[in-house]
Amino acid sequence: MSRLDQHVMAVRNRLMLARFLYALAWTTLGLASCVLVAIVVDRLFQARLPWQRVFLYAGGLLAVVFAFAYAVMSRPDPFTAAVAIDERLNLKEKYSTALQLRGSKDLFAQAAVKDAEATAGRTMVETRRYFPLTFPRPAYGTVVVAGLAVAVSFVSPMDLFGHEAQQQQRLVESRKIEEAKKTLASAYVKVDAAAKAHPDDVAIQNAKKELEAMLQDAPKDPLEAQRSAMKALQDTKDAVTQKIQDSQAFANARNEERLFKSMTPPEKEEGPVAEAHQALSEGNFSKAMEDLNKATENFDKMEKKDQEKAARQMQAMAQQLQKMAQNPQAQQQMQQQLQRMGANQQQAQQMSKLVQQSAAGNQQAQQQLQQMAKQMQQQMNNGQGPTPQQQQQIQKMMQQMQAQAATQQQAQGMSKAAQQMAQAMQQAAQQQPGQQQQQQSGQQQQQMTAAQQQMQQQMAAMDAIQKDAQAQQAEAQAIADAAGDAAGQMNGGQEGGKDGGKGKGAGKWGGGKKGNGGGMGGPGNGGGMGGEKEMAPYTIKVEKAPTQDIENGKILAAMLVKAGSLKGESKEQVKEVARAAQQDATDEVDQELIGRASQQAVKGYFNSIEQDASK
Amino acid sequence: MTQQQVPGVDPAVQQACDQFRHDYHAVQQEISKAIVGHEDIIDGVLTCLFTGGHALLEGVPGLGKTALIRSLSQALNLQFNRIQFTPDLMPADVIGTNVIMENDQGHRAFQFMAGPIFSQMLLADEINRATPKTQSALLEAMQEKQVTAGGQIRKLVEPFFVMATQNPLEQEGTYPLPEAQLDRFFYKLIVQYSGRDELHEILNRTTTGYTPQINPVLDSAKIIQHQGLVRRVVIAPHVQDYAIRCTLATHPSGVYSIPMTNQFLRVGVSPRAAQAITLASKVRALLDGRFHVSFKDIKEVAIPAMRHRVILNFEGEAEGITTDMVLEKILAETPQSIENEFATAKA
Repeated sequence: MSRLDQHVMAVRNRLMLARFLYALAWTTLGLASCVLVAIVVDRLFQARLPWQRVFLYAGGLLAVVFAFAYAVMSRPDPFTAAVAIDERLNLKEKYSTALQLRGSKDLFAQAAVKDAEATAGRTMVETRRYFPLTFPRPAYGTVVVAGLAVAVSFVSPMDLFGHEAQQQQRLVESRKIEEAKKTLASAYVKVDAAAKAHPDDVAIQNAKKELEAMLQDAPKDPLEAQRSAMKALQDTKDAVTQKIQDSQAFANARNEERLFKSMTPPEKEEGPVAEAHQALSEGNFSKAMEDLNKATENFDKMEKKDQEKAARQMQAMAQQLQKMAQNPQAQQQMQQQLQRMGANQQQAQQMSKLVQQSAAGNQQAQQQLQQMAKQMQQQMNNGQGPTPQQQQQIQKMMQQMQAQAATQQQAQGMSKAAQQMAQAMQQAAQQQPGQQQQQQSGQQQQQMTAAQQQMQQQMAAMDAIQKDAQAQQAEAQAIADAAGDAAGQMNGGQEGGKDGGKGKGAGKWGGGKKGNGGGMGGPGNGGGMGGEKEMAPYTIKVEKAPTQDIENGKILAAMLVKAGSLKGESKEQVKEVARAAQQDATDEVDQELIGRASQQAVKGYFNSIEQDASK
Repeated sequence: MTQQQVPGVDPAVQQACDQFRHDYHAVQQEISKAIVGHEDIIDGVLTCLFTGGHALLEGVPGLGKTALIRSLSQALNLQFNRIQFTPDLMPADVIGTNVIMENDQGHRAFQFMAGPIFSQMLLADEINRATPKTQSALLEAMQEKQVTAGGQIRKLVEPFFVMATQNPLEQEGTYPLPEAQLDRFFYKLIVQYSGRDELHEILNRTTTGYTPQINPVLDSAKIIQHQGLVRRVVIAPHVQDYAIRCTLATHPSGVYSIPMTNQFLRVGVSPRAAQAITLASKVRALLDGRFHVSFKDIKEVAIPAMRHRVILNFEGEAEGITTDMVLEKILAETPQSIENEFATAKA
């Protein structure tokens, strides 16, 4: 290869490199433009490409590959390179002419080639000097566009079409759905447990089935799911509460509490017997047992004065228990209740006696009592028998009466034991110290202990009843708490949670000594400090009356007066009225103002009205 | 006058080229004894001489046109004639005529009396003062280098070289040369006014009794030999293509025409212009010590070779555009090499 050819080759490579850079400037400009567009779109519309880095690196690689391919394909031919050399080095077309005329046999052509080669021999073609790699013009564009892209990337997102908001919304909804699922699952666990405990309760079983269906189909509407969960829990809780209230144990526990809380505790009295009296009046049988045990064990160690005081306190407690056991008002109330149910005075007195005997364990009295109750029911409603509601009320009342009688029997037993204990204490307190008397004292101590043990047995039975009722109530409370949580979640975020928290201490009468009310969570239900209220002897259901705003103010109550219809003056067709009534009923059903069990009945009733009207 | 020896080149070629340069400069030197300045005009005239073309010199009276040609004739050992063109000059006055001659025996016969055109170097002074008919008498001689008179063709002696002078066309009493006549001229050279220093020298020479002694340095044979040598100079295809594109650029609405061409030219150059450019470029290459033509040679000779071959349109005349202006624009805008365009621009 001649020196001329070497020069041409070097320049060809140099020109190819220049073209590569030029092409690279264009391809990077394109890449930068794409990046700019992507960033602008991202900032304006929040539409983001996945795998951005991968796209960027792949784009950069493609830009280099394209530029290289272009440079290789458009690599200047030797003649073009020779022309460029002639021009840059002002060689007056020696190189290009020589390349064109190399094969010629003309003497002048050969002379021209020789001249060119001689020139190449003494010429140094410095490619860096004569063919400098200048900064390609498109690269300025690349720099500008890249700068713009960087600047735009600092602009805060605008989200013109709300894509980001939609994404956030979807995220929030998916979270809500997840929470709803958890709520449903949690509710299901509780309802399932309640369903197992009460397999015959239709409401609980229905609630369980509904929850199962909702768990199988992924909940689309989280609020709906939570609402369903809350309703299922509420239904379950209501059912469980009702069961508890219907149970004999609960009735006994209530009567115990009511009865013993009617005791008047000794005022400003000290000592274990007074404390036991105080505990009994509070219904705290465990503490009363501890105090009595303490009084019996420490009686010998007491001073005489304290022994007399303890004997006196025990005597007072025995009298109160006796008075409580033979409370004529309770029997009168029982008789009045029986009379309200339709029994005459004689029947009421007889049934009251039978209740007392039945509570004392007389089976025959129990049978007679049931027979009388049946007779009384058959006589109700002019011999047509009681309605289910009346039947339920009678059953409940019988339970209460039996519980009351049982409690009075127990109080009677405790009164006797307290009387014996008081006598033993009094005798022990009046004895003088001596050997013979020590023997009598030991006998009296045994009597006292025996009486105390008898009292303790009575108290332990009552305590067990109370704890059983409390356990049942705790179960209902747990379900109610879960319903409150569901309500809190449904109301959304912290606000709902706060309301749900309020719901815990509000609503219905406080359950147990903890003072935690059952109650529904959510706004408008409860006032916060309800937990400290005294437990009511009966159950109530708090409802907020629906009010209506008119021009003159808010209607708190309205009285509807039924009057006879004026025949022939109706402007509306019966069919239209029936449809409107059905619509109202449907709205109420949809708004869940009507209980689940009644919904189908309401719908069916109004459907039948419309069908009748159509005829 | 050996400029430089290129290794590997045929010595005969090298010697011929050297001889050409030597003779060229010798003639140039002799002319410069009488003519002050006007080197470009002298170069142009000598280019025409060595390419076998004819030169048309245009300039106002008194600029030394005639003196230059006379000096050239003295430097060349050629038969020289001069015709002063006037409005009443007839073609026969140029080419000659048959006259009745009586010999010694008393016989009378027609005999051709050759006109001044029968020479090797003809000075047609103020050619545009004669009528077009008379001007046309030169056409055959200039192109065919022969004269047809009385039905007989008479060859002119080689080399035949016409150098015409003319006054600017706008002067009174002038007849513009027809296009066909103009196309026969290889070059049209515009003689400009002399400069200050040149005028000093002119005055010093012409007002002090100085008489230049011009010696003949070149004869017919050598001129013909040199004319042959010039034609052997090579021109690469891409360079020749440039010359062609330059000539094609003068054609209004042509493929290579530039906007100025389309706007101001009515007629473009003929192929004779491309021939003239190529030959003149070869002379430039030889003088530069090269065996091939370059783009620069083309550019140097293009304007005198084409300026008299293009005709301005009315707009061009009205705008005061000259043909030189159009041609300069064409040379500036016509790329040297189409293939080179991209590489040059990108590199």
